[in-house]
Amino acid sequence: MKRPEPPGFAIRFFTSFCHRRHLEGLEGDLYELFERRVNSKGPLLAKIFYLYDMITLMRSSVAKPIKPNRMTNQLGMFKNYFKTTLRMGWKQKSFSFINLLGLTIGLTSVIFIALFVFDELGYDKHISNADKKFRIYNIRQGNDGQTSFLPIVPPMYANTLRDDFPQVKQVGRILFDYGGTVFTIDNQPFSEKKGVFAEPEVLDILNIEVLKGSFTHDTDPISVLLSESLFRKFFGDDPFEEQTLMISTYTVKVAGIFRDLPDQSHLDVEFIYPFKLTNQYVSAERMQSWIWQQFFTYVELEPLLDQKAFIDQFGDRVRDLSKEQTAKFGFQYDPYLQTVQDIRLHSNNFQWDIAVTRSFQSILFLSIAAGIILLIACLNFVNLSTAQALKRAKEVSVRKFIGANRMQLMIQHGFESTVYTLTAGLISVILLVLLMTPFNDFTGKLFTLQDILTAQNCLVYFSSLVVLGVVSGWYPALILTSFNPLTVLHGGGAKKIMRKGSLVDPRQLMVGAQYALSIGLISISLIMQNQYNYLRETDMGFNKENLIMIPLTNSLEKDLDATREAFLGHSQVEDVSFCYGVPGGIVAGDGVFLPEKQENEFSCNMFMVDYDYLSTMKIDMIAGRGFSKDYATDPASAFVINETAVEVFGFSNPQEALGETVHWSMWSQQDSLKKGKIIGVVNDFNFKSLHNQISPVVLHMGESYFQNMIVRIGKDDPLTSIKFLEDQYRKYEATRPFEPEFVDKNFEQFYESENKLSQLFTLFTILAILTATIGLFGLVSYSIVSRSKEISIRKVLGAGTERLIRLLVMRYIWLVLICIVIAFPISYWLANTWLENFAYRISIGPGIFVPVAFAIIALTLLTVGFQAIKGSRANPAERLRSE
Amino acid sequence: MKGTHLGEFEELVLLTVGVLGDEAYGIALKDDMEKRTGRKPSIGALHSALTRLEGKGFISSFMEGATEDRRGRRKRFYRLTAQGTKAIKAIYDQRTKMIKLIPNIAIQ
Repeated sequence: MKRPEPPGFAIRFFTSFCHRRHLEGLEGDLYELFERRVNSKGPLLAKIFYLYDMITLMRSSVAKPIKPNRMTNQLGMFKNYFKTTLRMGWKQKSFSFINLLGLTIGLTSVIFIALFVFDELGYDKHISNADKKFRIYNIRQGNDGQTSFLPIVPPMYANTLRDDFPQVKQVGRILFDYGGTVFTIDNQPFSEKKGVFAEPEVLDILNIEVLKGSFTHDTDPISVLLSESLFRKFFGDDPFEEQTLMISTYTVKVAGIFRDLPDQSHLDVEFIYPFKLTNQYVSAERMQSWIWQQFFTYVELEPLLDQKAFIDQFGDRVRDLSKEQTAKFGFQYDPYLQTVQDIRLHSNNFQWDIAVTRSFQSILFLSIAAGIILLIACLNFVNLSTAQALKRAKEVSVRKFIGANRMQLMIQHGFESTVYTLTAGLISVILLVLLMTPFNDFTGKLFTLQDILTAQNCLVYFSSLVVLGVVSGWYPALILTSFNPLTVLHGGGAKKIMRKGSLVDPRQLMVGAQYALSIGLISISLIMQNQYNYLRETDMGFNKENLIMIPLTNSLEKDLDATREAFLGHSQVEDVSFCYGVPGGIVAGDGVFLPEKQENEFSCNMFMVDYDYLSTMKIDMIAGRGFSKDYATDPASAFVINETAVEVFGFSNPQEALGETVHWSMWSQQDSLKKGKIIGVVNDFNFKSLHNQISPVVLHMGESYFQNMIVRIGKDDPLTSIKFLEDQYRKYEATRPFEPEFVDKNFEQFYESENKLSQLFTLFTILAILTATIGLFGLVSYSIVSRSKEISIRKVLGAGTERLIRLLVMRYIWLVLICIVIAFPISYWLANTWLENFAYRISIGPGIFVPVAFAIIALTLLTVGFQAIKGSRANPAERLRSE
Repeated sequence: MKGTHLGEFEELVLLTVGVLGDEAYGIALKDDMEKRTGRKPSIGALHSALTRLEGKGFISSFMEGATEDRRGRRKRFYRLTAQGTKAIKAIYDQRTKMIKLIPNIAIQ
């Protein structure tokens, strides 16, 4: 029989753990006890006791010392490195300051940009199974040659998916509550804008949690689901049961309360009506439409389903079913899917989206800017440390003689730069704490320090700082440690010490890279600003200044003429008009039929207006006439079109369009046509954001459709004018909130994200330039000090100050010129890809690049020149005497 | 120099080393202590007490006597040094003196 043995791992472990001196005796004792126990208690218990005994022996008196004598020594070395770092830092105050400043700026920018970017990337992460949940969008091709992306789709999509596609787990529609709702609770009105009509599936798909009450297909249609915070705003801490509120003259039940949507949600919704409530507004027939693109539709697919095949199949089915209706209206569309998590960043080119979106490109641009700033800061650091190398050559040589090997010296310099990055990192964290509030204000986000300064984030942050330190310390260390100590201590000059082998000085290369990057950043940020200004200031084809839009209410529209007179009763109110369709707001998409032109309908945007619309908006006529009271037939049979429509409808010039017949099928009565003639052509005016082309427009008179009142006020004293408008409004609506909207403000909201991006980009550009400039300043000041002997000798031999300055400056000017040549084409290309987002954009010309080039050269001259003058003015006798 | 005070357990171990004379090694000490005092010291505790006593100079040690059941490992034998003997005596004297001073206790 095999003799029982104690567990092998335990023996090995003990051998490795135990001090040599005690090993033999203790091992023997353990064996002896083991043998005895095998005999008395059996092998298994013996093994267990063996382990127990061994564990009792795990004490310091038994253990080997951990690597005798090494640990302490190493620590001492690092203490010494730290001391050297501090001494060098203190001795070279300006260098250390520049280094720290550059790194701090870089790191702080990176932190803020990273916060922003990660927040954006984290949208809709609360939605479960998000990869199987999609929003459907349409790519619509009109016969006017325009392609548009629409997240709103016909109501029939959901029905078809429900009935014909078993692969679809669930599907739900949302109809946005355009214009918002005024709720009245205890006679107190609240105007709320963030509402939708939704099917219960939507709540399930988007993980909207109903906390109290319920929301199903059986929920009473005359009810509303409120968000937690909206409920609190309306009812305080009252229980929700049996609560009712008033909308207009109807009493509406509160069906329940849902948990507030997280900040990082593409949908910002505070109240939800049952989808069935739309029956009150929309005819059952209309809900069968394939034309009426108005519904945000979400689907959840069965797991393991090939979504590509699914959407192809669905697309075919949709084209089959819809063709008959859409072809008549002069367009066709194809459905596509986007996952719910893609909505936030990848819906940039969508029209009429209710999701709160941001362009992915802006996130990308910011990340690149962050990378560039950090890179510039690191290059600065590497550059300055390498420049200092000569000063430290003696220290390194002495260390070498004492016996330091190259690895140790590399570790020393890596350690040194890590000390710098860590210090800068700490300062950045302090800045982060200080700048949190302005940053939140600017970005509109809600970061809190508790969320940011988690143990995990800090760990990642500081360990990346260590990596950054080691990486940026590597090159200077390589240079420093390559010196031949004998030459250095003999008193060899810089030329001898720095073995000049390569054609290009790597330090010049680094300065060049910094400059090229900064120049690129400046150019791009200037182009962005110009584009933004262009968007704001370009001629829209109508005058958007001082134009106020007021939603019509029942009492206001009771007698429009009287209302107009009432509002016109002030010297500063210039014009009043009623309409459906205001530039910058909601505009109807529809189609018209020209019997003499084409058998299909032309798709167009439709404006219902009154006699004063064109004059109020200051839209110019280019042919024919506008609507006029002199023609009794105008309300029933006059159409005005825009220039684009002239072209799309196939007229060679505006004059030719006049008198042509137009048919339009009215919204209110099915199958009834409004027949009329084109009486005039207006200038193209922009009513959507300038991201989009102007589409064909048809204006005609249609009192029953009016939704808004437009008031043009004078330039002077707008506050008084608005006060007057409010007083007039109060005469009609005692309690309803007065909510005027400024048309130019609405347009600015279109460009909000461009504005933010351009501002952020400008800020970071300034920081990048600052970093690069202080870097150059440091480098030049160093190079002039190290050339002071040469300068003095030149002076003694008769060189004038001017010549010396030219000598010192020209090198850098050449460098900058090369950088300019490299940077401009790249930034031109990058900026162009960004500008492609806009249908109306500036052209990039020398007007942008020439000033940038001059500014950069001037900045370089200033930085270098200042140092050069200082260097060349010094008294040569003093410099040379020290030898 | 380390303190020469003895803890209670150390004192016991020191005495046992003295009692066992030439036979004082790890296992023997453990067995003997079990027999005489009823305690079951772990060999870890025993070893660290021995190391401390050796450090204080009360005992010395040497390696000898490999056996089969020890897989050929020698034993570490301990022996009282002169200083150890002195310490035992000193402890004894001090204890007796102090006990005598306690009233109402008679010791023959």
